[in-house]
Amino acid sequence: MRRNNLAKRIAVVVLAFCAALAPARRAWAQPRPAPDPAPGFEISGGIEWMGGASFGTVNANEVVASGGAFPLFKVTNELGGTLGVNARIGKRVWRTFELEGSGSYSRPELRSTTTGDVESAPDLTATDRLRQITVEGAVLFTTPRWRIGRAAPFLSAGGGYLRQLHEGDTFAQDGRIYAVGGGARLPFLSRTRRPRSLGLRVDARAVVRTRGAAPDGASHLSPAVSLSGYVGF
Amino acid sequence: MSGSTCRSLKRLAICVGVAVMMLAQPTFAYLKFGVQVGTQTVIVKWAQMPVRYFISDGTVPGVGVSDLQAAVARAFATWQAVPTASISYQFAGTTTARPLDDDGQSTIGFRSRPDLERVLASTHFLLDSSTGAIVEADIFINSTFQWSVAANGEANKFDLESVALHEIGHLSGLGHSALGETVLRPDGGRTVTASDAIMFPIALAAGSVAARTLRADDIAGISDVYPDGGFTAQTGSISGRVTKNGAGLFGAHVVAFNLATGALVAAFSLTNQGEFSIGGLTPGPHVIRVEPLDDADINGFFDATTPVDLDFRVRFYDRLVVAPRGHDSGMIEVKVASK
Repeated sequence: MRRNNLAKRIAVVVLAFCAALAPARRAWAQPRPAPDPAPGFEISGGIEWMGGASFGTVNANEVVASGGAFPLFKVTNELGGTLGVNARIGKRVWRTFELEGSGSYSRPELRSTTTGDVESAPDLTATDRLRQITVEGAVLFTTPRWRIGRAAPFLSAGGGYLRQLHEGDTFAQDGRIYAVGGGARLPFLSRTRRPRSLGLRVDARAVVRTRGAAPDGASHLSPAVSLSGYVGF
Repeated sequence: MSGSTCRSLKRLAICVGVAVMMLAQPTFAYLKFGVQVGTQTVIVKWAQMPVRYFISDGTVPGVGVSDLQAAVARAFATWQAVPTASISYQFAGTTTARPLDDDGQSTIGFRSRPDLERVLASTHFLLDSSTGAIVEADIFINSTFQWSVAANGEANKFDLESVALHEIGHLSGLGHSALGETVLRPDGGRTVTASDAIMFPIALAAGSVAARTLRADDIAGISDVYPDGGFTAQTGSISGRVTKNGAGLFGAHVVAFNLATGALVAAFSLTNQGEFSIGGLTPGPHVIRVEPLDDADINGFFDATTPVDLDFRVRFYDRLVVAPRGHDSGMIEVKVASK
């Protein structure tokens, strides 16, 4: 008897020890929600389309004797939409907030269309292929309540530095970039081991670029959409 | 002649008139004059600062000596205020001497020249042709015309300060700019539609005071001839060739339009290869426009023997061209076609 009791106690202790070593699993009193789509640390990279911006029309003015303006020709300036690449690194800093740093590279085209020449020069669009580099910081807000199936939507807002280099990198123009928008993560894999998640991320943002290569030096609004793959740790 | 040196002196006259200019002697004019020294073309400019000038004591109705001196001083001050240029001027006093006297002193004043019926004023140089340095520069203002020094101008009178501003550009070494539009009149003269340079030769209209302010082309020109410390580092240039049927084209007027500032600065293609260079540009992208020199008399710009090609259509270059800060764009080629 005593040997049997001892054997039982040892077995209970061993089982308890094994139970203690086993990965902890949460006990759920209610239906289990989808796996956490926003792990503590995330890197992502993908492609981004940033829409164009119109810079308006300016006149190449000469001056008449009375002091008034006489347009020699007109120039309509715009920045074309372009596809580029981006990369992000983010970290959850609170249950629903993440901080994110990102960078992007693209080659938008600056276009100047000349019209209305006083000596009837043919209309023409002169171009310059820029290199655009952005470095941004953003805050993301997400909550499990917003989930739609496996997709986990979020809102984002941020800003950063804009550099636009003209063809041949002979002249750089700096500015600021601000963006608000949102998106969603769609996890393909979500687990407790690292990497904790893999998936796709879609962002749609309203982007304001200030100064940079904008000839008017003003701020201009453009849409931006990106598709990225992400890995969460 | 001046002094006891053996240097040779050359007389040069540049003038502004209602329609027809007196002939400029040097071989070319962009924004600056050049003279042939040996086998090289050197830029005509003052070698010493400040440039001292005298005011001749002749008067015309409504304009006394002090009025003339004050109007001319304002015009000098406008040029001297260009921040990117190092030229300076100094009023040396009034004189009984008349402009065009070869006396070694630069004199500004009235002279009656009714025979020059289209010439409001002109600037005459005495050059040291071994160096291109200006020895003397006189400005004669044609008293045949009616003149005004009123702050807001007077109807049917030419604004003395405006004309002085143009002539002082010449006195400083600038040639004519072709940044202007004109309409040819049946009598052979030209009516100015508009211009964007004080140094455009025929932009002056009676009653107007609009020509008292320098434009980007003038500022680029004076800064190019007399650059101050930061000018070269802070501005850029665009250079290239104008070609027609594969060959260089001489005398094309090349205009650079800055997208950000709206400034127009221009130059000419000045070699048989059609080469041009536009300096003093605010850094940034520019639209380039090439046109024939058909808005002014060619003699106001080039020697009569210079083969200026006017047979081509105005066109824009199909690329935006960046003037880099402190550097040149690198050569571009603008191809034009016959009319």
